[in-house]
Amino acid sequence: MISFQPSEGQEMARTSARRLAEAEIRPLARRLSADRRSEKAIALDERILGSLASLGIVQSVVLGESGDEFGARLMNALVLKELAFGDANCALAIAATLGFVRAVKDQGSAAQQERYLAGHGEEGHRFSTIAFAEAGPDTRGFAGLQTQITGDGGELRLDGVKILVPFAARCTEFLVIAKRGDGLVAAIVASGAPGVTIGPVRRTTGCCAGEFADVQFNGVRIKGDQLLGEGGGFDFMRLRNASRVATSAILCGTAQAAYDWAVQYVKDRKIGNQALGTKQSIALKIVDMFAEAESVRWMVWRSAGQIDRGLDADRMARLTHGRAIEVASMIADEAMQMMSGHGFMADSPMEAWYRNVRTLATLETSIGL
Amino acid sequence: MIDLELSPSDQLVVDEARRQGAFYRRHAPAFDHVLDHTRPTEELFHMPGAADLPHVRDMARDLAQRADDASGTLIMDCLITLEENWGLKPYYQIASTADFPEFFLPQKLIMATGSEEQIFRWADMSMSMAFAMTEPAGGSDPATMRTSAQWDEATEEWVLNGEKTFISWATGSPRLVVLARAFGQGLDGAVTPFVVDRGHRGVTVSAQMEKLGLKHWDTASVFFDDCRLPDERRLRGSLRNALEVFNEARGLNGAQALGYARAALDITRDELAAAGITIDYGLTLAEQPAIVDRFIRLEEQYEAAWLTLMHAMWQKERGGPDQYPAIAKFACAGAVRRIVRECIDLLGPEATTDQTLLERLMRDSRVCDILGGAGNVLRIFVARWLLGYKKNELN
Repeated sequence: MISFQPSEGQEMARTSARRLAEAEIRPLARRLSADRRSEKAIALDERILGSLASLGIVQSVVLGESGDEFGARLMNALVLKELAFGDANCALAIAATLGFVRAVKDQGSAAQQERYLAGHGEEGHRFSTIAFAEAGPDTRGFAGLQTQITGDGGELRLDGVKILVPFAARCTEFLVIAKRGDGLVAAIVASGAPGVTIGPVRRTTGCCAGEFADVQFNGVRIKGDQLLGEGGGFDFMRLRNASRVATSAILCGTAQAAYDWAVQYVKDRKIGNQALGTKQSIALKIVDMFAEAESVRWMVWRSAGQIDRGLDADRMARLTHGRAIEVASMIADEAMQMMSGHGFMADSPMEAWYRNVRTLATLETSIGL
Repeated sequence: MIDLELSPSDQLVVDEARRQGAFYRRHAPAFDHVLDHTRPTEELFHMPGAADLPHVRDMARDLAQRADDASGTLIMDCLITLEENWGLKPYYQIASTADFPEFFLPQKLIMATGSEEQIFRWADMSMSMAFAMTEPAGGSDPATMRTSAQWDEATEEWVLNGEKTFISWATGSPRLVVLARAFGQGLDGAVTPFVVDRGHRGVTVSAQMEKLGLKHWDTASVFFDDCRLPDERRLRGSLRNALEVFNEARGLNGAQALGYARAALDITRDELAAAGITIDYGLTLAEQPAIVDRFIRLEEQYEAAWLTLMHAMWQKERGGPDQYPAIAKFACAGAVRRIVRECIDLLGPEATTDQTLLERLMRDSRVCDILGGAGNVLRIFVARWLLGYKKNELN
């Protein structure tokens, strides 16, 4: 039955996230999203991470029974959008760990869940993430992955370089997507394992507090019990779908921030004695921004709901992701145009949102719900 | 609880509507140019076997009574209309027994503004009625409306003069509601609705208008030449009332657009499959042909518009603002404009001939962003709402 009414639990989670976004995140947003070379730039500190963890998002995935799963990803999509409305980096911090935790929860063996999730169920925020992207154009193609696991039985080794892994230096574990023969496997690798080298934080255009870094795996020894599902098979599309929807939710929140700011600006800004917003060329763009943004929100809801229900979400997740990138890019772009010089200056948050959208748009299979 | 999937009950109705859509699709070629050289009659639209089809709308209403998983009536009506248009079901003179979307805009205006007696006499739901608003020099813009109704004290009659154009069902409908500027009886040019019978002296209906598409859709001009009406034919309504009833049909307008859009996508997907090209949503840009990426981009448009329509109807059922149906209409109409156009590009020259339905879909669908409130006009309406401006601040 078609309904757009969030459940009570979803509404509560969304409201708490919104409150946190407005009260604690937005005041820090300009510094979190500042260019890394700027003197203003700051990292996510224990205090803000503690506030994020107080929402209990990762913890409820870890501690949840399988019966509690219904609507859980949709709820997380709502929360990620609100956090991103505050600042995309904060949403990214949660979504990066969610990617890892959800993969182990959904596809890991009982022993793997026991070993790798216990810490994430405790108070405070811990980082672990998926390492997928590699250098080169269209790094998302998995047929061309260079990272490989070779050898057999107890003598496996992992070699390759993953680029732009979010919060790499803070992670305790990586879920490394690699080729093994013709197939794909996901190996859970401790960040401190011999042969793992985490590079310096890269200067990304956006989401600078995401501390993206390259991670090199050089002859890292892998045991069979580190392979996700322990040989029971691994469904890559489940990870990819969740990542696509999570990315779309964060893009929605970022677009909403830019849209709201633009609406306020065009109402305040006077051209002659009239508000800028009374010009059709501006007003009609505002309408399209609003309508497109809303439709992407519903697409996020629908694909998250499909994953929650165990339906085949490959198609809807792909459509949502494509649309979210296009629409968020359009909104950040047009919103900046409406503000002219003011949008270009780092005094307004618009230039940061513009950069953040680009970084978010190129994330794939890095985060989750 | 958020639920954006069709329930088993919804699916039952949609499947039946789709089955009927396939039936209409088989008959569609016969109705493309049916009015090119003749006036519409019910016989012209006769389809062998159509009378035996169960009424899907009744089925939906019935299920809504019995099942607890049925979506709302407005949503179901949109889903049914979508499937019918997927099958290019012809629109023709509405008989009371027909399984048709409830457009009935003239009747709705009479019900909203008429006296008890006027409603009893003229708001006849079994009769096709036309709504004469648009004029050659202006659509919904009252400033340009020229058709006048002058009160004649001597005979105690309103005298109508003027020309209305692009009027749907003008030829096939025995009765019209016409908007005119009234002068007299205390009125000084206020836009006022009148109920007029087509056979009344001084009313002339033109031949069918030639148009880009929807050629089976009865469309003509109506001329009023000293058409004399008693005061009982005047409704105590305004332009605002008239525009409000148009809002009632926005969801169905959107569903019509989406029906055409889905038809184009389905045809294109089948043609691509026959050529050995399948759509794989898991592949990356490097791994798929450009044609697949372009097709997927069109599917994005469709799904975005579909959800926008569902949301608007869900809002409307809960008494939400009229702006949502307006948004849904221009979103769906905008989607079909792009989808049909680009599907033709994907399939190549053959798709521009009458050997495929795409050519007709392109012609028929274009009116969706024009009819019953053009997209650019609706956007202004929505912009005022979003920006908090009054009509005189943003126009």
